[in-house]
Amino acid sequence: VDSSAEFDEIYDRYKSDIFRFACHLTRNRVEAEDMFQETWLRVIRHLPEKEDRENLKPWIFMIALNLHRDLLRKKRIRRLFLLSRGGREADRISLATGPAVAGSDPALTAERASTWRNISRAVSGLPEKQRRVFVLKEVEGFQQAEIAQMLGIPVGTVKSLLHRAVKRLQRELTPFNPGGRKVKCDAKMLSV
Amino acid sequence: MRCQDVERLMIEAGERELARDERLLLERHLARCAACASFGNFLNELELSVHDVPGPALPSELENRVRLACHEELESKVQGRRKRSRSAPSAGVPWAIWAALVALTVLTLSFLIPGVEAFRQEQKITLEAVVALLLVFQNALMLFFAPVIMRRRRFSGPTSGHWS
Repeated sequence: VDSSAEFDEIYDRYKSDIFRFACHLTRNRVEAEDMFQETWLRVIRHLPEKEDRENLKPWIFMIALNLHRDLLRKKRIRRLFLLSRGGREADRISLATGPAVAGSDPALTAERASTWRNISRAVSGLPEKQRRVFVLKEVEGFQQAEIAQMLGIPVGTVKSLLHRAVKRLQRELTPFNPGGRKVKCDAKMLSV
Repeated sequence: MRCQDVERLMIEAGERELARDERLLLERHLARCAACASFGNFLNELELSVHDVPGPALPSELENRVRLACHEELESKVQGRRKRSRSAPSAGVPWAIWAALVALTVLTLSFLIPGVEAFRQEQKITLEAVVALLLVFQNALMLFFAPVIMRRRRFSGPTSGHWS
């Protein structure tokens, strides 16, 4: 980046996406804020030349993913040496803190907040790899091929992780969905 | 088609247009499999909910703090680049090296031509020929190592720095 204006343009375009992604990955406000800041500092240090900035969004997300991997590695080492006492409960993030949609019905807003709270709780409970893939696909809107490239895994693995994530969410969220009911698959019907 | 494949196809349908035969298979399966139909409904609702509700808001204090930190980082990066370009010596070869090379070339030629001539006529290596060959060798070494020496001096710090 050669000028502050140029940086501001990129920052304003992606800051919310990166923060949301950091929150989903870390599930901890303090860690998400640190990760957000470090991501942007790395963007400043390593931003490619203007002509190579076609896939800027996946590139920035990859920085965040790498930072999250580093964070997990450090945590694992700390846990190994019994230095960690676990995160403070106050730092646990509530992903349903989004602002109300302007001009919307309060009842609708409350219902949406409640839905989102349930979804975010279930997403937080997903295993690490499934959560990454689910958030990148469903929340951030990346294509499966892009996710495969970002995570350095085959597309088939992305599909499988995504499928497992959605199945798990279905299991977790069915009690919160009044219209939803658990249906057992009948093996005899599978011939179609 | 297995239920697992149908479910994966439903997930893929959100990303790409399904082919006609894929769509037909899907429809036929869904008409008979309640579990997959339920999965499809859930998937639709999940996608709608995820897209519909805004995620966690970026605190403005954090936003400004990070923006400032990035501007500072950017400023120091630009200043560092400016400093490097100011302190870098001129890219041209210093005159002392040119003078040395010219002198050595003249000396080489003045020794080399009579030496080679004598070697050609008498078919034996004279002292002049040996001296000429040595000078040629020295010239080649000088030309080869001059850029390396220059670069080393350039990066050895401000006190031992410049040729000028």
